[in-house]
Amino acid sequence: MNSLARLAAIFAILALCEPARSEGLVVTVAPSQIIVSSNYSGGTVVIFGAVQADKLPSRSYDVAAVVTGPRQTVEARRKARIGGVWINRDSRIFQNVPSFLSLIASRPLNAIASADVLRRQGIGVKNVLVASGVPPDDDDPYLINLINIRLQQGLFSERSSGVTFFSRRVFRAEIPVPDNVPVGDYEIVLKLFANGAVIAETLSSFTVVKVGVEDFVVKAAANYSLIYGLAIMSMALFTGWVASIAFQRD
Amino acid sequence: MSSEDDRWTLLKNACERNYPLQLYLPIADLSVNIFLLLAMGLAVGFVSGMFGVGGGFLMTPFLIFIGISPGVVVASVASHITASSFSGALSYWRRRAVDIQMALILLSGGLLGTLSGVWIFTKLRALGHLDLLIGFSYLIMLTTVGGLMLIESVRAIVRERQQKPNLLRRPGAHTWMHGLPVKMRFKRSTIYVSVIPVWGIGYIIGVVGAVMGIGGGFLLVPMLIYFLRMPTATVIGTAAVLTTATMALATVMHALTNHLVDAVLVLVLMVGGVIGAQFGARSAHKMPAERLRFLLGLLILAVGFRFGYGLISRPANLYSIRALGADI
Repeated sequence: MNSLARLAAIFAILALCEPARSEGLVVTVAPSQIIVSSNYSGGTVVIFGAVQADKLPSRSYDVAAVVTGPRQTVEARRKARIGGVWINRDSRIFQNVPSFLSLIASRPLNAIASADVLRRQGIGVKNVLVASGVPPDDDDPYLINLINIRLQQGLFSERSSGVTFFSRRVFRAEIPVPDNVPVGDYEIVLKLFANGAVIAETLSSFTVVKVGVEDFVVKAAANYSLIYGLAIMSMALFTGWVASIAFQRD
Repeated sequence: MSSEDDRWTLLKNACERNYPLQLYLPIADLSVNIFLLLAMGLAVGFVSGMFGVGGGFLMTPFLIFIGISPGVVVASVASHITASSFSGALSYWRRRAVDIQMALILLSGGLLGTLSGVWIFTKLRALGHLDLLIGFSYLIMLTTVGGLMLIESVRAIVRERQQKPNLLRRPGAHTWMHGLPVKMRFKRSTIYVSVIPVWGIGYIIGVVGAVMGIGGGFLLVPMLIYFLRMPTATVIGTAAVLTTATMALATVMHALTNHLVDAVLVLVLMVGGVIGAQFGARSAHKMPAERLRFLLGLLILAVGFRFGYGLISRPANLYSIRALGADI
């Protein structure tokens, strides 16, 4: 069998498998790279997307996007009063927690789908954590506070307004990226909803990188720590020397 | 705590609105308003120049308040103090106000102390009780030193009002430390004292400096005056030499062990700090020594009480989180 025939056979099988009413999702992410340089104070990633449908849709679609940053092991600690002072006493370790977690949608989540569907699809700050392996305990104060602190830091966010539809098929989503995010790969899971169910989803990504002086400083501090330390020391001594010369009174 | 947070937020917002120039700190992983940092450097530098101390005991809490993690702060402030104390040391050296013999013996203790201090810092950071240790050391040292200075300077001021001679250093007045063996004559300071307490003081300053992220000048100056009866003329210059050396070593050690020294943060703080220090040193010439010590004592005590309050008052949120490391 030649390759052309094989390809044709695959397409034929695919066509058979595809349901009659099929909808697809195409997206593009810009920029694909967020560059952290000396004047970096946060950025925005914009997603443009279109719903592919055989005919013009009669119903309205909803979109929810989950953006997650590099995973970390996080320790949540609780302070207790011991001998009159407040110190960290008990703690719990959470593994596989996204360092950044942003959830945006075209409408409030509870209007898009039922709580059960959202949980199964891993949509919502808590649902993402549960999908990452965190035990789904509703009353766990460590988990609640972990989420609250991250929300306050701006590293976790949940907005029902981030996705706007231009027409029935075309939408635009905006993800604000704060200045305190770590470098690394960020994953975007975009899900298309209709009538409270997921009908299509895509996976895309962007990266946060340090460049120039920032990249140099981080790499030098990690890989050439002795030279880095000596350089900082020399810089300090030099600054002190310049100041004592510049302000010398004769 | 919350009202203080509000004030900081107001200050931060005012800076960001009027001078919207954010500077990204690559190791601290966040961006800070450059004018806020420069202003802090200037203010702390002014105080350090005025009183002949490194100013780390003010800079460290300032930087922690604006949201930089304590580890990065302690490691970075060490190099900031290196710059400001080296600038001071050079000025005193030109005025022949440095007892180099004394400085070298203090230094031999100080360098060993710094190594122990960085080791303790690394161990405690792993255990997760760094905040507590820093808080406690600040509380104890600041309130003790601040209180003693305040009492001593009030006495001196009262004595001066009563037209009595200043009794701070009487020739021949000895403490028990003067009875120890291995005595040595320090010509520049005109004292004859055992090297054991000198070495010990150097060691303590080294440990304290590395663990708390301070130069220890505010601790060293009174120790040299009250324990060794060193004359005020050579104390500050000698202390500046010791602080320069221990903090220079602390910088390298922190860079080697914790990788937390932020070059960008250091640079901005240094520039503000050395300029502020020169203006501070000039204003200090216009004020009598007792009054300077009184003001410094008051300042130290105030910072100490603030730390004490932070330890005993119920925190706004009992919970805190920290990232232990990246998952692959």
